[in-house]
Amino acid sequence: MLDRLGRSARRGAGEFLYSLGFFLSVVKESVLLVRRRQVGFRVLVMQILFTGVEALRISAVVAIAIGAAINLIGSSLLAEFGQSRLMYTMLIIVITRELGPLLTAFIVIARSGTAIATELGGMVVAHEMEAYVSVGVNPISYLAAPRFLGVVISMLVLDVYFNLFGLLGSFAVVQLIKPIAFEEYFRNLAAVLRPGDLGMGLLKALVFGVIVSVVSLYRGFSVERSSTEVPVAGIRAVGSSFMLVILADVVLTTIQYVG
Amino acid sequence: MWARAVGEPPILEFRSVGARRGDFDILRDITFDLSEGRASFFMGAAGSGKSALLKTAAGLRPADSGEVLYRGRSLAHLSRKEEAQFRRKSAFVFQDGALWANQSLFDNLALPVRVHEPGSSPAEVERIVRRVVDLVGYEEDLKTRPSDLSSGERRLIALARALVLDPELLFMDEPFANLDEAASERVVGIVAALKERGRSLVVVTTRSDLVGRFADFIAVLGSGGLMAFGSYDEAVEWNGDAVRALTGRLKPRAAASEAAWGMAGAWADAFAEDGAVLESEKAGKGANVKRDADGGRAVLGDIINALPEEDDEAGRGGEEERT
Amino acid sequence: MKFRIRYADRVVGLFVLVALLALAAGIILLGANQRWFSRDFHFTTRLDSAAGASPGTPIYLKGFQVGKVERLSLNEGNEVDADFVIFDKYYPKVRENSVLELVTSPIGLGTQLLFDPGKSDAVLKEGSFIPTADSPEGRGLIEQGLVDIPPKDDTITRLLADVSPLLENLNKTVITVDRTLTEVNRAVAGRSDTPLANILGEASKTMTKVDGIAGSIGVIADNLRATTTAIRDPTGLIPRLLDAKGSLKTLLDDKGALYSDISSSLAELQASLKNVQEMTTSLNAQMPSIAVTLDEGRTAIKQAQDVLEGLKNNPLLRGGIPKKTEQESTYQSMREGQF
Repeated sequence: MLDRLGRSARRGAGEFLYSLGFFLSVVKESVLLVRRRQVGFRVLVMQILFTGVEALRISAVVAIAIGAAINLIGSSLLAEFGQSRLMYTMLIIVITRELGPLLTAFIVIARSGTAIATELGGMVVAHEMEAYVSVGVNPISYLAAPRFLGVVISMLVLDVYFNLFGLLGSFAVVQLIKPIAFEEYFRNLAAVLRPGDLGMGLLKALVFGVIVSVVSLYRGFSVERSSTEVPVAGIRAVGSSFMLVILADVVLTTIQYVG
Repeated sequence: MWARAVGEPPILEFRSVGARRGDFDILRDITFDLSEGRASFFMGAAGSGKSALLKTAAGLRPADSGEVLYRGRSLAHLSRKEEAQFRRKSAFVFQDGALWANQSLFDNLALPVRVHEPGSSPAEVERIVRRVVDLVGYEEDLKTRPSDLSSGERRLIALARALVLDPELLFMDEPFANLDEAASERVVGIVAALKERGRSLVVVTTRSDLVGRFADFIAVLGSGGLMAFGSYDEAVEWNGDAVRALTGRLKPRAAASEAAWGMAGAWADAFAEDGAVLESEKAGKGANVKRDADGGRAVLGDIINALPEEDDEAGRGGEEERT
Repeated sequence: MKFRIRYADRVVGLFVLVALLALAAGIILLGANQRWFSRDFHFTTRLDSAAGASPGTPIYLKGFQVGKVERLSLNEGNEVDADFVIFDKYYPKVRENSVLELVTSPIGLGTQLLFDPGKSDAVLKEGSFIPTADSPEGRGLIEQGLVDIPPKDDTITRLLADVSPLLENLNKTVITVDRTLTEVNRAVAGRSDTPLANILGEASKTMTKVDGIAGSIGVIADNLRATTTAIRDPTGLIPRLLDAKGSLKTLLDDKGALYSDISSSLAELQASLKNVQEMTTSLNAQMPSIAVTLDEGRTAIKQAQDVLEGLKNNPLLRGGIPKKTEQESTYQSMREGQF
């Protein structure tokens, strides 16, 4: 019993160190990629296209829906308490600071996390990874780094779009139901928006992007030889990404409100 | 220490190499040297670990114990630069082709050039790719993806990818398996040409006829270890039963009749004229060897023509090694 | 999909560019809001006390925030040196002879720094010393009429200034009425040696005074109406003074409930006093009822006092005055009573 505990602890520590090393080499190769701008650049563009551009529609729908919901709550429920101005604070808290980055991360996990893990897993099984090594291409720099950068950039950009859609798109939708003057809406929104809100939102998007990409890459690379491992890698990528993103969210939010 | 061709510098040295899969040892304590410019064939029953040994030799799979030396340097401890050098000068032909599915055939072939010759212009890359595509005799569109190809075509392209930088050391995992007759002939011809050009070949195959045709050394693997190694005679001397069990009707090369070699024999003869063809090339008389009525020769001429700038490259490579 | 892959670079470029532009716009907006790009002009002043002022305390001119306090420090002479800034937009208003006024609300609504621009054409140089209105220097400037002091828009302060003497008057009246009542009681009991007529005459006089007070109450009611209007005005000083976030506005905007509360209370008071007056005039006819009526009157006055007391105790922040049940006319009840 004790032996088993010790063994699993050692294995856990080993895996932790390995993943840490993996993370560091991904970051290092990403920095090199930015500097070299070589072959992986094309992969980066395609990754942003897939993770960012193609996720824009669903992200916009979610953002507008949430923004519109808060707008309606603000104009009906909160007005009953004479607190309709709280709506703007709620919009900023929910869309900019809390839900925006989190939901964007969820969208990216569901779309790109699985895709990255299964794609890389499939490449390992098809010996494509070995083929890269054999021609002298480091899979981390050629496969992982552009995907990492692509996901992180997409997360940041999608978060900005989420804000754009959540704050402005929802305004347009609510106009149809209960018109508010744009000037009034905009001024009130600007009045409650603090640099910290914007900063925290972007910081979260950055952290979540790093988590999602590294976890998915790690899971993809951890496939060894059987094609049955590939879907497992996909599932694990999603599971671990969700867990870690939520954990990171809790930590960041705690730091923000307590620290 | 096992047999080694006296006086020839080893290009690869195996030092007590072991390979493990899970808790099971597939290879234990393998020690031998491979000479430069020779064709070495790994043989063994299925699951004997020959593919694992090949990948370990190519540095695609770390040795679980022991080490593999490339020109005296351990593959496990190559510097970044040395590793790049090793990758530049070696190539691996995978059993299933292992083409990159998300890239076009052209990009599959161009990537090694782009990686190792980053300064080359797109036109240059295109020229090099064309040459190697002609070499393997692939005539379809290079814009398609590997998934559009038959498995035989994929293997040809994979071979082309391995040859695109004209490696001095070529690892091949079952290069002749699952090919149609024409493709098989092509591959055999290419192997012969490479051998003739002094490239070091390390091949895993079950085609005993080709082993007899090309092998300078054979390594017989079984029961998790090396059962025999050396030239055919040496190997037989070492462990005749094991060698004969694998090679079956294989006979010593010297004893082979022209008829027994069949087509391959024609290739062997053709090599004698290899130099002459090149001479004619240099003399500007055109690379076309089709004037020869002999079909085999014509194909060979194509192959040699298409081989990327043989002599110059080799010369440059030699210098780099010395520095 | 094919289209996208073909134009991947352009699509991705546009995707990232739009986001960057949006982000930049957001940051600029934020910066404008946080006055990152505005220049502030620094000035100094000296306050008697820093009580009620702190770094960040806004400085107003006619209800507009024109600057804020940056730093406060206690100097060797135990005076408070204050550094403050005037926003660039309002810098041209910083003329020579300007003074700064620290106004503390008498009803505990906090402190306000008012900027009173000088009546000069010369704009003060940055870093100049601007005296406070209560410093000898500032007083001098004001007395010479060199300062443009806008009328105080703190209507509550003004109103309460009117209410205070009135309350004193009312108190006096109540005491007089009380004394009269005692006298009347004693007379009725046959213990007084003062002729009853005298007492009644005195009571009559008191009531005339009350009449005057009732008039004043009308004036107060008018003032209150004005105050309420001021309160309703969202840009006005009072709502911001009370609650910068403006939630009070909605509270007060409840169809003028507070105003009608106060107003009806005052009207009631007026009615009660009128009753008293009427009672007094018909005193001769209805002698025995005087005591009761005066008693009623006293209750009514007490109620009025409560109302005003409540107002003084800052009802705006304490949820107003509890609604009182409408009081029946005492006159009516008198008539229906046994008399």
